[in-house]
Amino acid sequence: MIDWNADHVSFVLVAYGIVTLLLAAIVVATLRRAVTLKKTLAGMNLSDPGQRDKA
Amino acid sequence: MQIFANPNRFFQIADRAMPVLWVATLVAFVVALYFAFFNSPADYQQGETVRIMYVHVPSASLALFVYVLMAVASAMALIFRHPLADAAAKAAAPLGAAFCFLALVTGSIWGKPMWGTWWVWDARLTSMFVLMLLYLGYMAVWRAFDDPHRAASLARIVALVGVINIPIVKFSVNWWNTLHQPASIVRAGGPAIDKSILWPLGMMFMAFTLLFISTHLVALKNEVRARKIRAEKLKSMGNS
Repeated sequence: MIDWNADHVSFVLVAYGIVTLLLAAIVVATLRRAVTLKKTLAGMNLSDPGQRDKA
Repeated sequence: MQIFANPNRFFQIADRAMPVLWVATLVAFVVALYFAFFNSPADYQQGETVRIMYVHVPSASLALFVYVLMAVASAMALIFRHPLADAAAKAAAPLGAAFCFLALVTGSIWGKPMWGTWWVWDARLTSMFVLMLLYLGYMAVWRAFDDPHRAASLARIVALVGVINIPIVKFSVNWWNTLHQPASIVRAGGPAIDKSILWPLGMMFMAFTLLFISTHLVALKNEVRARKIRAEKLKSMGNS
């Protein structure tokens, strides 16, 4: 188990903080883009990839 | 492999797999973080900073893996004209760049307390920095051209030429004297690190890999959606 009072723990926390923020930002940005593009496709009356074309 | 040649069929399968993949990613991260912080010892020399390795090594491994994936996809686009190959490479690039950036940053944060410096221009760090530039260059090529076919042609060359850097990164610690330590996991004779550290590292590697697969599938679908929208806009412009 981590010793919160040990030397250099702040380095560990900063490293994990940066990793968490960047990975979370990428996931959120990718999912948000998916929603935007889906709406645009729906607005143009086009089907999403993997779904049957609309009549 | 034939079923994956049809984009529609591919996305039907991917859509069914997505919820399972996201849940597996979340569970893998919770378990890996628990082991990284609460169920693994401090190193006898590195102390608590050894925990930085649990995010540094998977980031670096995936940065290398994603570039190889881009090169393979680019080769498939060149040879087989696979409809999803270029899109797969393009969608993977920002993810690979992010992993490469994280490997450089977390390595630097580990380096300050352990080596006494944030950065040295040794062979491993420099070749990893070159990999970051290759990712940025690849993404810049896609943005530099209005015509996606021209962009794809040049991007394939960047991916295929740049893959030469991958063995240089991997074997740099063997070929040159570096401050970066030699390979301690994938090496002849098996891993050189203790199991108590190897297990959390393996779990974190699995979590990072699942995150890449999940995000890449969404990004790939986004790329196909964007192409469909572009094609429709061009079609309507041609009709008017």
